[in-house]
Amino acid sequence: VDRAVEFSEYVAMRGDALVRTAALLLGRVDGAEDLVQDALVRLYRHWERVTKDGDPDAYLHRIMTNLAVDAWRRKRPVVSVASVPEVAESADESLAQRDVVLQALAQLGRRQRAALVLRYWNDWSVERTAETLGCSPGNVRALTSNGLARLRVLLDEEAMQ
Amino acid sequence: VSTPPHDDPDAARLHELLDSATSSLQAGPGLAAHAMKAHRRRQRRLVAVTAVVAALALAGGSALAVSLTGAPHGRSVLATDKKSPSPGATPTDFHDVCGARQSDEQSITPTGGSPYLSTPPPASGNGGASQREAALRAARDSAPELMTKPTVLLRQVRALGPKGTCVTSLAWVIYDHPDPLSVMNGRVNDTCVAFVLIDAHTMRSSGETVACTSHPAPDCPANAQQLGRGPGGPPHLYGQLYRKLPTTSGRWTKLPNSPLTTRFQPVVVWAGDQLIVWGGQSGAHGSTLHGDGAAYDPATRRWTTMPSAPISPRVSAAAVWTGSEVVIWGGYNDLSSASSLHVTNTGAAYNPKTRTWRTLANSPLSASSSPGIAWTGSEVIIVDGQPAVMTNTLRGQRQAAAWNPSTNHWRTLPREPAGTPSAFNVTVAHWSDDRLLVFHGYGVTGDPAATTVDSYDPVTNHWTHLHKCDGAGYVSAAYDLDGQVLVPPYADAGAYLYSPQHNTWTPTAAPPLSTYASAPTSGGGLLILTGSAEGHDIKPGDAALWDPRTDSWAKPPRMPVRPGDPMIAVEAGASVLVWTGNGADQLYAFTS
Repeated sequence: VDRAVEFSEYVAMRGDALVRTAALLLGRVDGAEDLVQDALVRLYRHWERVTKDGDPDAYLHRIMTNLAVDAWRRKRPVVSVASVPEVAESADESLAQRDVVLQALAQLGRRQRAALVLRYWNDWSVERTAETLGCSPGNVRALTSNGLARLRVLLDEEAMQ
Repeated sequence: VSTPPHDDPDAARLHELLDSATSSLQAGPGLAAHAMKAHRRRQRRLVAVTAVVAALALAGGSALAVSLTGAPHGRSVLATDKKSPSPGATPTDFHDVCGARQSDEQSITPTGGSPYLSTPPPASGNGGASQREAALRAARDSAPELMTKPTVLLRQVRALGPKGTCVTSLAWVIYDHPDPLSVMNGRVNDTCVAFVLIDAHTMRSSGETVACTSHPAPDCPANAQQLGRGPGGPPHLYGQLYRKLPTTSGRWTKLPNSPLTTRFQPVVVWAGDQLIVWGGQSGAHGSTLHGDGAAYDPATRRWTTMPSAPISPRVSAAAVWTGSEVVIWGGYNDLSSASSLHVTNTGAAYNPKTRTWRTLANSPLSASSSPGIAWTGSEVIIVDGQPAVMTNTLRGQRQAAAWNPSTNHWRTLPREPAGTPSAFNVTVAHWSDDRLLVFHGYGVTGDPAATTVDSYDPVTNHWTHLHKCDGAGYVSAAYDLDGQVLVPPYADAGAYLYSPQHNTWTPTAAPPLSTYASAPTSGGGLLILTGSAEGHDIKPGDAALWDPRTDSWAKPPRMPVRPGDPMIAVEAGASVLVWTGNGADQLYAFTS
């Protein structure tokens, strides 16, 4: 019961942030929760060991990053939607901006995108980002530098100012 | 933990963009429940694995199971008792990380209908509101399961909150499983049903009748820190790559197989110039116990079968080398069925020179398994130990006695002092210069920060409670190192140097492996081995060698062990011997 309780508590506290990170890692909203779900299954399997050092986040991010970088695709049935739900007016602007940013991210390489997300969304150090990506710090610097430059073009100069 | 990318306007702007782009996203409900269900489905498929774990847990609790399977499992120490009282108003038993047990101070009475909270408990104002709310959500999610299983046999309240800090809140945990083995082998984790969070200070919660005094323990400093976190501590090992370490020389040699059948968890002791392997368990559910043994002499590279022992076959016994005899005491001597778990308080001593046994006089100690044992130079001190089945009211036993090999007499020692936790389930005894150090912990799946230390001075016959609730690491073993005590890493817990003089803990450089076996080396170093099959490039048998002079790790050659093989490592002169228990490849020697 301890594990279940602790795990539920952790997911309750971190679920939103994890889904946001997953969307950024994938460059799309669709599938973000499924990515988190797959990672959580693996995390729960090893919960005691992972939490011994008190940082399930690090483990989970590593799984999510690996899955995203490895072109993860959830095997799930495709459901056809007869009607598209209406979107409230007030959400239009933020959704539009979200789409622009995610579409730009989606055009980056997977490792480049992961490096940017871990480094600049998670605010992780170069070293920790490198450790999670399984590459050298120099590699991370190159990925983020090139990624930022590419994003600048994709999002146009104004968005990055 | 994170280091924001400073003075980089692009980075700051990108963070803003990413933040706003995802601000509308939220996790759907049931995320955790889905993951747990998926895990349970997977678990059911792993019937064989579960059977092994159950067998191991049957034989000795979580520490044993961890050492044999290479993977910690649930809180196997929390076994319920079939004679447990029926649901209703029963005194509950709990421990917090400060070691205070307050079973007399608390009771809980479900007041008809669902015994679960429908509203949050009063906020304590200590900033834990969101944590409590999250816990309550989890409780409500699982409550329907309990509604269909009204049998509540085990109750425990345990600490929540950051490890290594004093308890900030408590969870009321209700298990519904009537089978003690299910609890012991961790299956209860999958059938656990509900809990209710209780404010630690008021011990009140809405919907329940709870009466308790407040804690934490008064001597637990408010600024308690867990060692091993932060820059000096171990990294988050799990799932990481084997760090790029400098390689170091070393050689593994496969030694001749013993005449013993395959077995796990025997007594393995280096007796000056030969290795003694005795007892252990094997068979389905580990229920076959062994009472035979053999000695390996490195000089002749030969095994010799030991004469029949005058004591019953057993596993999880304590053993120590006195310089002339291997003294074996306690352990499980019956694991034939779930209803006949039995531990013993008998012992014997084996002299490898004369190849003779002698029976120890009747001990004043209660029968127990896995007690702490240490040789003082004149006496064998045995301390604590675990009962056959641990319940929420019966765990580690506080007891101590000294056996004198010259007279074959026992001397009962005073009980450990006030402040020693009551609910511990791991005891490691270590003779340090002129006194006995006894480390109490809560198991590798418990709170690693809860380890406490007691010191016993045989001259004054007096105990001193040394250390409490300041974030010590998990203690699985203790070795001498120049007046300090080297606590090896275990599982993902780090390694520490404990100073008895200053009563301080210092983490070593972070171990690069999740550790399943360790032994000191002749040069004052430490060899660790992993049995884990996890990790990208970490394989079972991967090793690391710690150098005390530089406080750094290096990578020796890998031990050719197979996944799943248990490992018991002992220092043996200039080598480290590793017993795997496997019939085909039982014994290896590492020489640096």
